[in-house]
Amino acid sequence: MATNRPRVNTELLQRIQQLNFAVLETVLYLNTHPRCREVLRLHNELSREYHEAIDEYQRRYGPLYADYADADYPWQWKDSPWPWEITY
Amino acid sequence: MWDYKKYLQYPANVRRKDPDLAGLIVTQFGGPDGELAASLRYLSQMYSMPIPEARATLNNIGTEELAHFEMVGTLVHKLVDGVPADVLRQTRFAPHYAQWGRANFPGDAFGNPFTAAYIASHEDPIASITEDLAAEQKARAVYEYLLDITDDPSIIDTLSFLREREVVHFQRFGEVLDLLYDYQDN
Repeated sequence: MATNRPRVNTELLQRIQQLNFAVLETVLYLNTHPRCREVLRLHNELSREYHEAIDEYQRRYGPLYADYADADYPWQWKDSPWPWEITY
Repeated sequence: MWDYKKYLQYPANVRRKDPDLAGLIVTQFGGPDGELAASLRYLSQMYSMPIPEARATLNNIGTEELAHFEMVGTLVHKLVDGVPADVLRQTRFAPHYAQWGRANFPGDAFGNPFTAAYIASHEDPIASITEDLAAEQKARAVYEYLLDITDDPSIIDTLSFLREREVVHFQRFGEVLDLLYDYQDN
């Protein structure tokens, strides 16, 4: 049941922040340098790591996306910590 | 369309409450060179851009600015959350409290409400991107002013990150401008 597990893991969240940020940087760069193979490879690699970290977090601590496919009973999205409540 | 991820792009912590500072940092929430203005500016300009590099850059940066809007809102909120009203009464946050309580409101450091008059969006893509270059410089300058007036190390960390993003955005818009000139020459 959803209520038994810890509500937040700030360390994993920070890793997710870092990975998401790194992916964004590759996206912005590729938008004006679409033929840079190296950054494209980096984008895909980082995005994969990012999605794995998201999967792990959602499985263990609760939803980061409202459309998370394995939502627990009772519905947790409204209750899991909101970003402005967290001390990262 | 937009989705929401339940984490900040970068941490936004505060070491101590500071309602005076909240009333100043709010300028990057709803002020002339703030994150709401930036996101609406870019997300308005993107539709009529003639080249895909411009559309994508405006879309992705405009989206990032919404994440920054949330970060600045978090700072303002954390600086006043839980501070008793009689304490707020003694700070420059008092007028904000009188009108809106501790809720966030998109306005500038003088209390002026946000207006789309802060942005420009032109079919002429050179006009729009030049506006964007100026906007990023102004935002960077404002973050530097804010960095000058706080010694809270957590806030300094967050503001420094946001300042650095403006520098990177300026670089990206510069590349888009070059591509637009190339496009117009051909």
